[in-house]
Amino acid sequence: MPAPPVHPIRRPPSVQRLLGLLATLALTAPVALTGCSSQRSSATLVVFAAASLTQAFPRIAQGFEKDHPGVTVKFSFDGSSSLVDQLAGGADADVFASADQVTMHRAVDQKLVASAPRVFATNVLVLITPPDNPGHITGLNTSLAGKRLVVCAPQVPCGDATLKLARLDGVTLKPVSQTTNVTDVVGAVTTGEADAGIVYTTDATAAGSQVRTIAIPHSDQVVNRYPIATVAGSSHAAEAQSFVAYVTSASGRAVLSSYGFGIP
Amino acid sequence: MSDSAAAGLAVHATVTVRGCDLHLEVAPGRTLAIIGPNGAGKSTLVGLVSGELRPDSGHVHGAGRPFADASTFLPVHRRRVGYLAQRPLLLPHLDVLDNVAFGPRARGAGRREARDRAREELREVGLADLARRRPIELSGGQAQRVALARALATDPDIVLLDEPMAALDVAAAASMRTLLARRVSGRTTLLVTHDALDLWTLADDVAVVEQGRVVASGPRDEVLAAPPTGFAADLAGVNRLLGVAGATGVVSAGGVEVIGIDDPDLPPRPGQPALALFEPAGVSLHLTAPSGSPRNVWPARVSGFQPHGPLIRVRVRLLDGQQVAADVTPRAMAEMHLGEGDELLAVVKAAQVRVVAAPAPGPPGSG
Amino acid sequence: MSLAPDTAVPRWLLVPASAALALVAVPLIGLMVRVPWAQIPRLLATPAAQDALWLSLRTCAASTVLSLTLGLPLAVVLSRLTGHWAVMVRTISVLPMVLPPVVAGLVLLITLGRRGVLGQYLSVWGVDIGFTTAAVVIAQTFVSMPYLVITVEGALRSTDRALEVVAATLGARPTTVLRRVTLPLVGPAILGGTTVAFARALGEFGATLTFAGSLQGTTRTLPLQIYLQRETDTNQALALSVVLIALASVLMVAPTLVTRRSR
Repeated sequence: MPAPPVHPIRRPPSVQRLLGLLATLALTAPVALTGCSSQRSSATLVVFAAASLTQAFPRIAQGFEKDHPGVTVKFSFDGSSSLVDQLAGGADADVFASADQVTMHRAVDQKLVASAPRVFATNVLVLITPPDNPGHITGLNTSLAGKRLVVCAPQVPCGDATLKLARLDGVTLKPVSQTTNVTDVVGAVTTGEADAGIVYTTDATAAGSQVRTIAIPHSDQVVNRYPIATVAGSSHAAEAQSFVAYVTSASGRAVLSSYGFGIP
Repeated sequence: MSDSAAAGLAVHATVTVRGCDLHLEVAPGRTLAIIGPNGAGKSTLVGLVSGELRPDSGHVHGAGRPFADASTFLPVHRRRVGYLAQRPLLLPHLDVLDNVAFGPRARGAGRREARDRAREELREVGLADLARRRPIELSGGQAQRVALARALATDPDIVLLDEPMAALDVAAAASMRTLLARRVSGRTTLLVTHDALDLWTLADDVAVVEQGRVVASGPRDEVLAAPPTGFAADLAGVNRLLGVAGATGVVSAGGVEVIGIDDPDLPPRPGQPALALFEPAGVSLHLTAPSGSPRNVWPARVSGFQPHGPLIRVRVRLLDGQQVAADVTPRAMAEMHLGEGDELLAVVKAAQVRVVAAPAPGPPGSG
Repeated sequence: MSLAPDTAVPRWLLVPASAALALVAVPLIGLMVRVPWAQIPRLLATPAAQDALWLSLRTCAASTVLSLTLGLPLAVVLSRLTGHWAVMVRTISVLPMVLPPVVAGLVLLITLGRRGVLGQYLSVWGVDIGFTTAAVVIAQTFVSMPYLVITVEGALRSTDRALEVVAATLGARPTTVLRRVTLPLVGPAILGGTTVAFARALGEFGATLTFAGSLQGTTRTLPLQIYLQRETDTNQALALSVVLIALASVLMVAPTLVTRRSR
């Protein structure tokens, strides 16, 4: 890298100070943003949750806060992988809910979580088509031949599951696009760009009447499990434990199943 | 080129938005100088001839071809008008040779043929050895000579010179003027100029434009002998007072009687408009009435100064507003403590005043 | 590197200037530190990475050619327009520059997509653009052409129109004037605009993802591959990022070197 263009002129000390400040800011910004919870009068719980929980978890939190006055729950929703990266980077969180077990294992391996992960929800794959089903898709079968199928990329959990399920059913998929997240699959189908997509039940439920849902044989053998755990170094370990307990309680399960999740 | 009058250049056209109604003709092979103050219509005329402007009515003919009339409009590139402007406008991405070869190439010549022609034209302007230079490496005078070579390399039917010396220093202008005199003689040429020297060295004929009209045109010496406008008189280097002829040698002008000598070639008729013409060098300025008996002593007010060689040209305004220029020495001016607005007396000997019939106003195109 | 001695710069200016440089340079330095240099050859040798790189180069070349063939004429016409029309047409022409990429993708999708305003008719004729390499090229052209147009148009507006007139008096037809005078005069701007457009196309992500999808070898360009790879293998994502940055840097520097040499 070339030196900054100030070489021939003595750099005033203030520049160095400023540079230092800038570097500090850059490095601490993510922590500072999520870390405002560390100065709390009453407890504020920070929950890192997989993006597919965006709708269900706030509803669960409402019930939890009612049962635990003085405790406020805040969420950071993102891809499970990104969340682990953020935790590894020192982000301040109390609870971590992952959309798959592989990612949770990464967190466990890096000693980022404090409690043993517990599976609180499951999700299975379904086939979706636009409501008018222009491709005349009948299921995960030969009706997909030559049609525009969009699935998750094998590198991400839903794509991995899709691949496994297709193998179980003895079908070779020829997708026109393999997206990084399941939202893009739903989008391709609801806009009519794609004739069919493979997504989770919860995504199909969220899309409502914009899609037609077709069950896939053996989907119960490729179940995606959502594990939850408290985060290592949490300053509200007790509250974090009770949140995990609430999610896995009957009240939590009721909310989850209303969003299409399966209950373990 | 045909020998008919139409083989020259004829402009009889109006451009409404510019308030121009211009009529003039250039005889084949002759150079017509256009003079007139800024905004008089000179650039409109240039635009009409080059093809940048479309007339609202009337017609423009060049070399026997219609450039523009009610049914035709010949675009710039099909007019065969060689155009030389104030700035050389050389193409910066081409060297000198290819600038000059541009025209022949554009008209379909092969690269070799075009370059041969370009070398020939560069020799004519004395710049053959600069063929491989970039325009940016040339002096102003050299660049303008290259531009002339480029304009002539296309064998234009009409040459259009739009103040070609105006941006050059005195020395460069002088050599350019000599070059032009040699290179455009015999071609049908329209020359727009502000410089009296151009008139005397380049022009066969002169047309005077003012307020969108051609107010006079004809052979140079005839037009300048009785300048139709103050501007023309200025260029011709004479003072011009317009009045009404009275008795022999007398014109009522400037609120006074001007006493002079009638020009036998252009004799004024009593009661008709007449011009009193005299050189600025023949005018002297006095704060008090001089002794002796100079015939013309006019009260005047100083309106401006400008350097004029080793002298200073003092402009004074007579009672009726007509201007007179007087050339005085800096020393005389200092002794009189002259400043703008000062009142004084302008004095001219009668023997130095020539009285001529004023040229008839109106479009002179017919001759 | 040094400041020209005759340019007096107030010293305090160096503080925000250095901060600005640091803002851009520090993350780059961060990347350089973090990249697993030793593994780069191996990481780049994977079929997925090679497909992405090759696809990116092909589509960017195509979209740059498209930007030139369509954008140059637009720039020339724009530079000649005046008045309200000029303002309107120019605003439309450069709008993709300020659109969020995902919006650009959505706009293309609802226009050229299978059920789009135009796409539904194309679809009837058997032309389906979505999920094809052509869609990638269209998305890249959509977002990158404005950079070429605005650069060239700006240069055209500041050229001396009198040069074109003089060329016409020499007998050059309008096409000849365009080819031999107008375009050569803005040559450096065309070169600069083209490389910026190429670089922008290379970095194009949002519109491609939304409009073209993501399939190895067909629509998954370098940025899409980086985005996907990040899910599983950060190192490979970083390795590809280095390639992307290196390509873009070469592109940005090339025109300056070329113009300097020709002077």
